Amino acid sequence: MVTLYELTGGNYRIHRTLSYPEFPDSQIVFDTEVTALRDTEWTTKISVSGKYDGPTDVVSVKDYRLEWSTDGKTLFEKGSATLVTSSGRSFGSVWTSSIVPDKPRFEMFSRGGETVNITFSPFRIDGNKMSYSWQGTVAAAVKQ
Amino acid sequence: MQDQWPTHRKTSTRFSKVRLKCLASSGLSLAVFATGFLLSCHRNINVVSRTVITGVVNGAAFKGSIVATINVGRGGFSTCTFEQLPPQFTPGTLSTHT
Repeated sequence: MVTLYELTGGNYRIHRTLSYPEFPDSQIVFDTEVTALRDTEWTTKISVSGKYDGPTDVVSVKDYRLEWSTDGKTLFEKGSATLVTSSGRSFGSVWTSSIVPDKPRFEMFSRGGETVNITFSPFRIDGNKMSYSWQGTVAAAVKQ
Repeated sequence: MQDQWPTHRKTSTRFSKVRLKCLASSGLSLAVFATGFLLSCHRNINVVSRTVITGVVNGAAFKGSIVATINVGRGGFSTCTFEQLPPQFTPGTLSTHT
């Protein structure tokens, strides 16, 4: 299985639309440009816009899952995750993304697509800062 | 004496097959090892990503920076610092999308 590092080489653009089924008026759009200064150093610019009227005290994320497919030029992403607030309340988030590498490297990409599952540590929030760690696995998609 | 040639030919043929099998298995082992070694090296790459995020959410400025260390194929660690957030927002509001 291949990762974004291998598929893009660190030079790509992402257009992502994020929504919250329980809060239908909320929608956030991210336009992201990632540039590899070198193999091990990337710089990223994100432009964010939209409206959000859901809970703001999100402290962790779980059930984070991505589905990737491609037409050979663009990587299409469908994502979902459950957000957890400081009071323990959970609510869903879903998003779609199109990821366009400057130089696509989809030769090694699984024909049937790939799924990515990521687990995150709880967010560590201190004032205006937040930190977290994550671990992920990439696997060939299983057709259902 | 008449039996020596056939015996010699059989031995020679057997030797060649054994040598070929040995070479093939050695080559295959080397290829598997090299591929595994290259993949394991590749997967252990650490990438540092520095991000600037700007924009407007709920009509208010959203501005921050993120430093992420990504271990390719495994995971990573992110630290986000927000200079400006919309009213009521906390650093975790948009979760890991920043």
